[in-house]
Amino acid sequence: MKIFYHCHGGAHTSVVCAAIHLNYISECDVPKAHVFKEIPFYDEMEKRDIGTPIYVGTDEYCSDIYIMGMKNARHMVIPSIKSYLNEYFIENTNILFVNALVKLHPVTAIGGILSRRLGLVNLGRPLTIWGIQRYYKVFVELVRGVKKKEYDIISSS
Amino acid sequence: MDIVYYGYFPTYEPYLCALIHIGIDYGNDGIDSYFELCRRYSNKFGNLIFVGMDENLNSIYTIGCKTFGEVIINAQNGFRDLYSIDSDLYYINTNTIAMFLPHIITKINNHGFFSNTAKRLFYYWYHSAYPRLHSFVDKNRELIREVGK
Repeated sequence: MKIFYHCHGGAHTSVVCAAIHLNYISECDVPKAHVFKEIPFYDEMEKRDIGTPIYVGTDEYCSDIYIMGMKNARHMVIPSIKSYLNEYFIENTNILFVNALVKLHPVTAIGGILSRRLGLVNLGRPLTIWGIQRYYKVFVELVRGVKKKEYDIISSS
Repeated sequence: MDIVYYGYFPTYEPYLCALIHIGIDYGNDGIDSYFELCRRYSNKFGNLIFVGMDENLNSIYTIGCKTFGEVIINAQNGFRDLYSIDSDLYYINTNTIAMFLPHIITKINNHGFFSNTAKRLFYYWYHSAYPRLHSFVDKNRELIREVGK
């Protein structure tokens, strides 16, 4: 199975969700800022790479976890992927797209713009982390729901 | 090779380019059915539409992706690599030669009233866009031939 966490730029919330999913960071406590900075691909997605799925790791159910940026076009990007796979008779029942942009703190959004769009990484990155720390439990809950769904799909197939 | 014509709407410039590419000409008799197709499907963004195959057995598709062409290209290329699909993807951007008229026609069609006005504008768009799109497709066919060599 392949699970794709997607958000606007594929640099912050999707990366954090993937890291929680892969147990790179703790579910119980809100991690400190330096822990976020050490997550692979955190605040690193370049504008030209938005849309490209990036492999992050494999979880305990042997599912591959990816991150993706979709801008505001997830209602277009997902059908475009599914229709492309359909053309080659590839079943998409084992593909799960998860919107990691369930709740975005305005500070994270501002930080993301500063860091990714304007290149002010030193200013933007701490702001993205601060915002994600505020809503960390929301992302943990999202990942728990995804893992439950993943288990249901794997056990039913 | 899969050749994908993409633009803002799936059924206007990209679809007409795809038709020209595979050698189909609606002419004056089939233009009504083309208008009906545009009326029904111009808002189906993100769906890859298979149009046909050209003389070199390349599959020709169209897709409407508003202004998110780059994201969709990255996504489809990414999945092509993930699933080791060995057919190359070649994208042709029709936004560079697109007219604004399809936006107005779609707005009128969405509204439901003034369908005759929409049809007249569509006829105007078709007859004015066709020659430009024909030369655009010819240029791109040359480029594709060079890529294939």
